[in-house]
Amino acid sequence: MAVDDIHAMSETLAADPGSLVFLPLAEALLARGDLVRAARVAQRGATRHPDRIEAHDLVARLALAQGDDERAEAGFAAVLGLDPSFGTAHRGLGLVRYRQGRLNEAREHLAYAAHLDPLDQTVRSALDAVDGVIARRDSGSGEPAAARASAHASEPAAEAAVTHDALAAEDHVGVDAQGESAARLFDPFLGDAKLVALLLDAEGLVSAGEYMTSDGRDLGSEIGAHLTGVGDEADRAIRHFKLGKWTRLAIETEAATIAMAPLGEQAVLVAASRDVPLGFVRRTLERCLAVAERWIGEGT
Amino acid sequence: MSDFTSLIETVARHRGVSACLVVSESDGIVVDGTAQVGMQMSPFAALTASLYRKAGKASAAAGFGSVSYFELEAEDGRVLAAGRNGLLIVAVAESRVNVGLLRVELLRAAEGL
Repeated sequence: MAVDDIHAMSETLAADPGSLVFLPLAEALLARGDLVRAARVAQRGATRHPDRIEAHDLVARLALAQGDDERAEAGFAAVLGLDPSFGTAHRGLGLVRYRQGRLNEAREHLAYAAHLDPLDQTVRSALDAVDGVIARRDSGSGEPAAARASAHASEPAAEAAVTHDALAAEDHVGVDAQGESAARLFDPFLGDAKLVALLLDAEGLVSAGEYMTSDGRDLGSEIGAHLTGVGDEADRAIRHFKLGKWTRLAIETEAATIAMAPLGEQAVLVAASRDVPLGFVRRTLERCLAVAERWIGEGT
Repeated sequence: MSDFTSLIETVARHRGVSACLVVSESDGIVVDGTAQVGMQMSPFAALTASLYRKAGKASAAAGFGSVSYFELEAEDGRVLAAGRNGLLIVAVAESRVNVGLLRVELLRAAEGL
């Protein structure tokens, strides 16, 4: 979406605040990574059009992208209040529940979202991660994730009984088989507990790779949420010095080194312990970029 | 002449460096700096500080601690920054700059912020 289109839609909305143009406008701002403006536009639209499901869904998705789980949860609940089968709300609520550590509920929502949209890689990855954490929580064993997924697919659906149990159980095997490959996409290039790699989508959600702590905390989602839109912001910054588009980002912190690169509207991120040399982190990033590019190509 | 003039001059002296600024991390206001004629320092400083803060939030969320160094590589150049005590020293450089040397220089300069 061109900047001119955004200006045109902004003008239309200013001239007619009741117009539904707020929906494509907020989506366009979201795609550019301008989350603050997108959220403002979407919230005003949702307030003016309380019966529009898409408006509440947009507000909730933007809250999720901004890391505001409480607002996201309220938004998705509003959507499901209007339409209990609205797919993106189940997707979003599943991710919120996952972050909150409410794993059984997360699994239930994500399985239903995966049923509605089997091609959604983010849902598959998240579902796989949830299953992995549930398996570790329940058994504490080191059995392979694929085996854990199979076990969950065949176990009684008591956990998911509230709404979508049969649906989730039917779909689970196929979903996990692909989610597992997404979560493990970069493993051959890491080979060391000191390195992690993630593919982040335009909303900052993890599409591939995994960054789970030993206690089951999903750091990938948190990092992704906070780095959402960094590419657009980087482009705006370097425009003032006519340096072209951004190609790489490196961040050194007290405990880690993070390297990041754009891949279309997505981004690949590698994080490493501080004692890993920066050059090695960059080299790993290049390898992960190449494999992510192939993986995305295979999925389209 | 500010307290930071000598730090800025040291960094700006590197071959390939076209601008060097000291910027407030919290609001992106330029404290001191030098740039080639025609460069818009204020908006650049504000956006760079914003990026640095965003990196800091991501780092904090992951439990990685505070950010000490930040480097943005673009098609035709680089932006490098190091921070301390709520201030950033930011350099804009050509792609062919000796990044390793400039990084060390910025980290050293940041100790004086």
